[in-house]
Amino acid sequence: MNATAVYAIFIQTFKDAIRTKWLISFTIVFLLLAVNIPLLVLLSAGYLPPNYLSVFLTNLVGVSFPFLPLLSLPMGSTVIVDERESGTLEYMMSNPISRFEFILGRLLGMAVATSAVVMLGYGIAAVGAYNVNLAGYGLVAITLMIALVLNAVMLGIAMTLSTLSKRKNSALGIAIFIWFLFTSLSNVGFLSIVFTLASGPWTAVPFVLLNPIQLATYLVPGLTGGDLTSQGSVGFLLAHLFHQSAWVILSAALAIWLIFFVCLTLFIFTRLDLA
Amino acid sequence: MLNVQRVSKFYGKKAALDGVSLEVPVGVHMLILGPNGAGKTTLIKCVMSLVRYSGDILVDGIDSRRQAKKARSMIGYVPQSYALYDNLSVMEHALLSARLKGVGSSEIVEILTTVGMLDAKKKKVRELSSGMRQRLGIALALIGDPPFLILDEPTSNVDLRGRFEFQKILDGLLDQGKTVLSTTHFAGLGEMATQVAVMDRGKLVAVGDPDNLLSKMKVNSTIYLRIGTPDSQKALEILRAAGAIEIRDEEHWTAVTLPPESRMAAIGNLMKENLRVEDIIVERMAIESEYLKLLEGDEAS
Repeated sequence: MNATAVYAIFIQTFKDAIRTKWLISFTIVFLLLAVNIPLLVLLSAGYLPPNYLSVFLTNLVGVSFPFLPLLSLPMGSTVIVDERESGTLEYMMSNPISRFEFILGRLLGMAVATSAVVMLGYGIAAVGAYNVNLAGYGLVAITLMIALVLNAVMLGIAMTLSTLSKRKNSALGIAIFIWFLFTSLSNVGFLSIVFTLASGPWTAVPFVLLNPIQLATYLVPGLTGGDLTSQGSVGFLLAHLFHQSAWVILSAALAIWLIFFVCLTLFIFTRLDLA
Repeated sequence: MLNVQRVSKFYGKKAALDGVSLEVPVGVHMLILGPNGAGKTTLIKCVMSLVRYSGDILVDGIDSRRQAKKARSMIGYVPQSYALYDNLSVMEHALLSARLKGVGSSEIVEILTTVGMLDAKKKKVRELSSGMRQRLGIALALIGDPPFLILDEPTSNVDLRGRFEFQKILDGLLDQGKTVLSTTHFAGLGEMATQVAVMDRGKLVAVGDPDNLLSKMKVNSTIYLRIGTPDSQKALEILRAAGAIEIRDEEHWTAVTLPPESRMAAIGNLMKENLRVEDIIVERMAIESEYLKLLEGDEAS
């Protein structure tokens, strides 16, 4: 593998991504979401109990996870198709680099740029606003890791979409629709409880496993020692069905989402007519 | 040598290329002629392994599909649209190309100087004129000193000045011994080509050197003469004897239409007789325009 070429593509992608207006705007909005000003006010007034961290994490996940895909889905869905439309993909691929090296450089560049935003948001929230102790930092770090994996999953989906699409606008439209589908599916998850009355509790499981946002949301209490039942009726159902192994199943499902879409992007791109 | 063997490319059921075989020997400039949609660009994309195809393409014996990276390392490619990253400067682009090609940056200054872009090295691509973009495209293709150059419609998006500058650069590259494969549907490159391939509707219809092709096509030459009054009658007799098909007066000139193989003999005979030929213009036949006329006629019929 030509590591110099991959690094050059990675750096170029990263620099391009951090200059994007969407990324800059999203960073500001995400910071405000993560910092959670009402909690900050309560904290400064001394109204929060000492164990407020679990409350904060539940709140943080509930508020920020559904919006997290809005970072990588639009950005990732246009990255390849835009180059194809403008012709720069032809220029890049006329150089002695393999398709794998190109897509790897692009994926890494996008992943690092979008991850930086997520880390910045949660990091500043943890350090500046919540003043947590060392153990608390560990819990925030786990939440951050889950957020990064969710971001990477969304990037994988977006890049697959970008390699398949012929037009930038349609890729962007489908990406937004996918976000809508996943955030709506969260509600469908709750609706699934209704179905369980007739079909048994297992009916709800596919709704969770087929939605990476839900997977990540339920994984946070699973990995931070929190109460899965605090995430509502579906959380209660998962706790009932899987007991202590719920986090293993949720982690495995999220990992499968990530691996599947990254591999799918590579598979499609290496077999595509590029010009 | 660039060796294209029975290459076909289908988009759905439509054949963009239909069993094209072509050899480009080392050190020649092969020009692929053909109207829009003839398959010229598709052939180049196959050579660059940018699209899937059936058949075989060997770049100096290297399979362009199975060893695409290695094959591409031997080719400098200038695409039709000069699509480059608008937000990068000329120098940043050159550095990116050098890294992608795995070569050092030491040769960049020399290459930018060759194409006359060194003064613009800090300019962003979006600030460049079409001619400058073309020259930058050539500079990027030259990084790594590839023995083959592929230029897709190199003069289609540039103005007249850009075309002249391009021809000058191309002359220099041919002098350096580069093997060049270029395409055009315009006139202006034919006289710089040592070999010409004509494509139409996905097929190769003729290959050869430009003069041979013209004589095979039996396209007549026209020469324009200014002959002093006392000698004009004798001159006309010599021209008729040399095989002139048509002789007509055009303002102060005598226009003589001849078969291409008789052209030099006719001029030679006039000189031998020491006639008062005051001026002579030999109309250069552009292989590209003659072939395109022929293909258009064929399509119309």
